[in-house]
Amino acid sequence: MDKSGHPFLMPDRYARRHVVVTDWNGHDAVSRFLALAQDTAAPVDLFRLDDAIELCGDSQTLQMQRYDDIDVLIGAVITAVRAAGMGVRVYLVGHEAFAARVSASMEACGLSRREIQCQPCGIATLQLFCVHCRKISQGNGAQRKITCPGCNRRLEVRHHYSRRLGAYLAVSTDVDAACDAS
Amino acid sequence: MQANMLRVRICAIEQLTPDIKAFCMRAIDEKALAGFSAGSHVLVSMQHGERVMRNAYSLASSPLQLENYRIAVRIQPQSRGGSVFMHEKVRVGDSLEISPPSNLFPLDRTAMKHVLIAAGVGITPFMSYLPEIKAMGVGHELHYGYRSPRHAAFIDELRCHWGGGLHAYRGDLAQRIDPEKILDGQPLGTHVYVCGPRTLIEETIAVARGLGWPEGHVHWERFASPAPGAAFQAYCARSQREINVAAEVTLLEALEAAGIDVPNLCRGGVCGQCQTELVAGEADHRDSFLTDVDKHGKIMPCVSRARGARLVLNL
Amino acid sequence: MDALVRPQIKPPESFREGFSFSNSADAIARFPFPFPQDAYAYSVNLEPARSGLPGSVFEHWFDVDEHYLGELEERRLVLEADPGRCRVLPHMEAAEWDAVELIMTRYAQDYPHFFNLKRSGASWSWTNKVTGIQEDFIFGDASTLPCRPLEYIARQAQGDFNLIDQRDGDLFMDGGVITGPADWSLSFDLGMSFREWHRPVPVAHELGVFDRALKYLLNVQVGHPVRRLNWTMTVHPRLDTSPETYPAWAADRSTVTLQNAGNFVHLRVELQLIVRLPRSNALLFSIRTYLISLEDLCSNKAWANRLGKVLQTLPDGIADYKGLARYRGTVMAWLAAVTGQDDGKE
Repeated sequence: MDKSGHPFLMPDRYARRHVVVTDWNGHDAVSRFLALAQDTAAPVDLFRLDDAIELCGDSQTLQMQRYDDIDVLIGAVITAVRAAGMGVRVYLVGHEAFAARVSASMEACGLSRREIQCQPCGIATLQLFCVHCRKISQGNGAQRKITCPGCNRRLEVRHHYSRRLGAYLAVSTDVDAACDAS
Repeated sequence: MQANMLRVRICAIEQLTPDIKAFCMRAIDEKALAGFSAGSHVLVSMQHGERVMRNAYSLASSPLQLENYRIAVRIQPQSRGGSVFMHEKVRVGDSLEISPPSNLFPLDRTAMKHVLIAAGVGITPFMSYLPEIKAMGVGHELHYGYRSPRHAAFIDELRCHWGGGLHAYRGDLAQRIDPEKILDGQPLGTHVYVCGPRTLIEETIAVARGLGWPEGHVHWERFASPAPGAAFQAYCARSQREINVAAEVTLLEALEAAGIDVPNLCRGGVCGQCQTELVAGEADHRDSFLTDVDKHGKIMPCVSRARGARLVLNL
Repeated sequence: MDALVRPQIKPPESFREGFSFSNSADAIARFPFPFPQDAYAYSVNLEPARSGLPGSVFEHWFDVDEHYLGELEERRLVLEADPGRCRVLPHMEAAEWDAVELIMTRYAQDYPHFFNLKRSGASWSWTNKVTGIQEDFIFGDASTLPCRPLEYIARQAQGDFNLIDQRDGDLFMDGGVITGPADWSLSFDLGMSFREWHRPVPVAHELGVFDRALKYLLNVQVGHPVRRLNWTMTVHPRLDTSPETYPAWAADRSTVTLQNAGNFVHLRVELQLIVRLPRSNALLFSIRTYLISLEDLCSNKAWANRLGKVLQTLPDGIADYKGLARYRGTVMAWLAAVTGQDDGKE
């Protein structure tokens, strides 16, 4: 496990194709994974969202594609997983908001949770679901309170995560502040 | 569990193949039968003299019509006699007791495609699948293997409703179901369902794993009726009762006949409901539920028996 | 022979600002007091939903009581302000119809003086004598109902409802009508697996409660529902204590005093019924909420004593989770005064 308790990504040894999707330009998570994936028989597709420096080796079974736009990236990933069909595994390495978006697209394509693994990286940019306006916004991992950009309410983050939404529950805290003060 | 039994009347019997008969049944009083989900089975109680046998049979009728239920029974002369009873003793107009339907083999409602693999009488649960699959509006294929056209139960009905989605494999032409060929290249979100002999199921599971299919996408139901064995004694330690288990009666049936109710569902050694603590005696484990560790000290009375003369159960 | 039709349904009471809700002596007597012992602990308190004593809340699968019209009106108001309290994922339509069939047939069977259902093939005719609704529709054809099937029947039933899909050895909350929750949100929990939606519950996970409960629920059979009781407390008889409306009710928790606790604080008990649905193989979770003011509860001395002891020994983590930490001390003092017991304070 890494420091925040997330299990390290392990390439599924039965997978027929590994599709890695990342917006992370740090070395460890992706290179570590790629090294492990070399032990499996399956080819690896790597999709990167960023313009960072190239990081990885010259494995013959590694195909890498880079994109600047997340929607175009997601479209390309969808094409790749559809072509691969049953037996594909998707590994998401990166910021939570990015991983949540890609994961939701993968599930919409028909992948089940067992076929998708996530390795959150970077400063925990918590995705928050405002239960009042039902919009998702980004919070800072360190803060438990934010102002919802959708409805301006002051929200407190609760310890409950929705995989479907890729976000934590956030509920208006205005009331509690008033009570605590009294 | 016996409280909810339904009384039904046999309204039609059809010889589908030399060894498979289909039985249609309606509720007594002409009421509608209970709704059920595709893949469900019912337990049919067969009273023969003093013996009551209960066998599980898949519902082979459409869940969209509840005027009658249909089951298909393959005669197995070497068995405890349930199928022989059905084939030889049951007539149109006879009444039987059946349990309400329960389902150990349901369709996955989030699947984007369903691939069905059946051999022989294993086709029966899939007869209820198609109407539900069609209602879901997703892709589907059926792969059906049988010995020869004479042995292809329901084949006309299947051709009519599945059309090009039906792939038939004739044993007499040495055509073999090849799970590798069937599963390779299936699109995302495909689920496979297999019903037939153990070898076909095990092969399909192994092939699916090798092709990288995740566990939740592979479903199976094995057609097993408990086989007979030697007679033995079962002592129920808590109620302090000695039970005779005759050769052609299952331990579960003997317990039930003695008024000892054990929770049960599949009566085929797969679901785990009837798990009972074994205090003493060596069991002849015939189930597909207990782990090797569990087998020391637990037994599934619906199918398993004694290796020696006596078992002591914590009942 | 009792010629009185039970329950005697009251005109609609209010479960929000204004709060005209009150319990009759009958309602108090049949209240499902949830504590079998003096100390509360998490357990797999699921049991077969065998029919209970006539007149009790356990007699029928779906209990109708004197608050029927009030709860229907409350649901109408919640859905009008927030239609997002009703959600059903696309693959759950068969389960929705199962729920319609189940609730209509049970209501008609158990309360024939209130409800009637005639079925001729797929042509159904439903009569709700309490509300005056008469509906002819085609079972299975959503276009023949004024709104989606689950919402349609939920608008005429007491309690919140969840549709739970069973697949891959797990349960998923894939639909529901939730207008009176004890601080949880359907729009957030939608699509979650069993352990996922129970994640916020303290303590119980480590005890293995949810592993055992899940196994038990996966095996629930048609015709053999199971039930359990859940409890918390609410200030004022407010049904809609959802995260969505948190600002409207959370402040009330700081307004409890020794003088008003008897009227303000309510014990809130959920009678949860879990039923296997035949055509979809899904589960229906029915959450039937009962409220009783402390004052009314204390008309039963045994209840008052026991509640005091439960609150005394309740671990802080559970009190926090149940949202009653703020006024727990005040309630204990109030109970002590009423029962003449030591309230646990030094």
